Amino acid sequence: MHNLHECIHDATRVGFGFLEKDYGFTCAEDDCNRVRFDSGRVFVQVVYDATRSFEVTVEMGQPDCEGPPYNFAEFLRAFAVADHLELSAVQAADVVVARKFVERFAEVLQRHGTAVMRGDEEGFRKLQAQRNSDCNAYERERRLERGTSVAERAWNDGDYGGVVAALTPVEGDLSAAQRKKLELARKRSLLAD
Amino acid sequence: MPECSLYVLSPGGFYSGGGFSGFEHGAGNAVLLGAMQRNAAAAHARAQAAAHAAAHPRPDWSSYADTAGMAAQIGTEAFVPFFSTATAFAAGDWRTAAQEAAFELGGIALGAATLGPGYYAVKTLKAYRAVRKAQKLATRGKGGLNLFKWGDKTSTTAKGWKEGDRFLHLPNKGSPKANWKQNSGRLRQEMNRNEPIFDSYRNPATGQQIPTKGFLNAERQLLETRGWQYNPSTGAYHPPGG
Repeated sequence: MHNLHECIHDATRVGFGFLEKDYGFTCAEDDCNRVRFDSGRVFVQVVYDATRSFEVTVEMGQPDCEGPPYNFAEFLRAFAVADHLELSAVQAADVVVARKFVERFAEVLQRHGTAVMRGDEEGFRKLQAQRNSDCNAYERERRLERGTSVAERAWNDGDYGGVVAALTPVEGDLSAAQRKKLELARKRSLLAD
Repeated sequence: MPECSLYVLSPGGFYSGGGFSGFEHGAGNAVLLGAMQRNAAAAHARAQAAAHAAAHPRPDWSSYADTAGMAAQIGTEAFVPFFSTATAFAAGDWRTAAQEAAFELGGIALGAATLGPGYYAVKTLKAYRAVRKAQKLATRGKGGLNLFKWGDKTSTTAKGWKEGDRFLHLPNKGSPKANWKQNSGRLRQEMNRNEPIFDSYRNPATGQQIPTKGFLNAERQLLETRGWQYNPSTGAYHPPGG
């Protein structure tokens, strides 16, 4: 475990060295779980959850920004870096994998994150827009999942009114098949009335 | 003081320690004969309890609900069928209901002595449920278990914490699989408490959850597959029917 810590720490200091060299960041925090680079306008941190999930993440933000820092998945989507989406979620419990991923995080950030590392407002607006969009989509997805799950049970029980009640609020997000099911449930519930 | 025949019942030993003294006032005037007298005594007990509450204001109203909940439980478990708290709940006035539930227990002896238990058994059950609801409402302003995203300082710093806020910090079992087994087991235990579980990885402007993978996502899935629903306005998952 200790070796894995050291490996991630060392790989971070080497891989993300460009932040200090090219963008004037300094290493503001350096412990076994987090290495944080700070330029005064922007921070970038590599975080390793060594005691629970073994997840490795890279986050970024502005020091006075409210709320959680932007995660790497948001960064990838905001800057349309579609060919590295596997970096959205990284779990590393061995040295080789951990080192490889930290190096790739650094490489992708260096190549695509200039606007963020410079602290350009436009870059952070993109990140915030991405977050808002992701949050909305996630909420809709959860509501749809909940609605269809309730509707499924109601359908099996022959409770067509229940199907209508569960699916109507999420009607706009239903698939074609689900919409047909809703229409059918509406007809049957009318017949039952 | 209403005009009525009155037998003074000493409540000593039933429920008084540190709780709501309105109960004692109510009990002290509770054993009456006749429906009109009962109503008059109940009104008197209410007035006394209200006076007592005014004379002894307590800033933490949730303590009333806790007291009421405990008292209600004691009453229910002892098959003592007398409550009339539900009305206040129907009006949405849970604070009053919490007080009422406490001091109306003073009328338990009256109910058992003068009226059949069947009618009051139903009322008791409803009132007990209402008191449980009051307890939940009373804890709304309080914190609880917080799901968190590792490394997110806004998730794990003490800033903005409410009373009772906490995280699942568990010993490392050596692998993600073993840690998840431990983590999910503890989360299920927490779910059995039927109290809101907060999600600290959310957009502060809207309260919406920030999508993520990993353990936090697995925790969310675990809650949702068991019918828990996230509410952006409270920032918490609430149990089914809660």
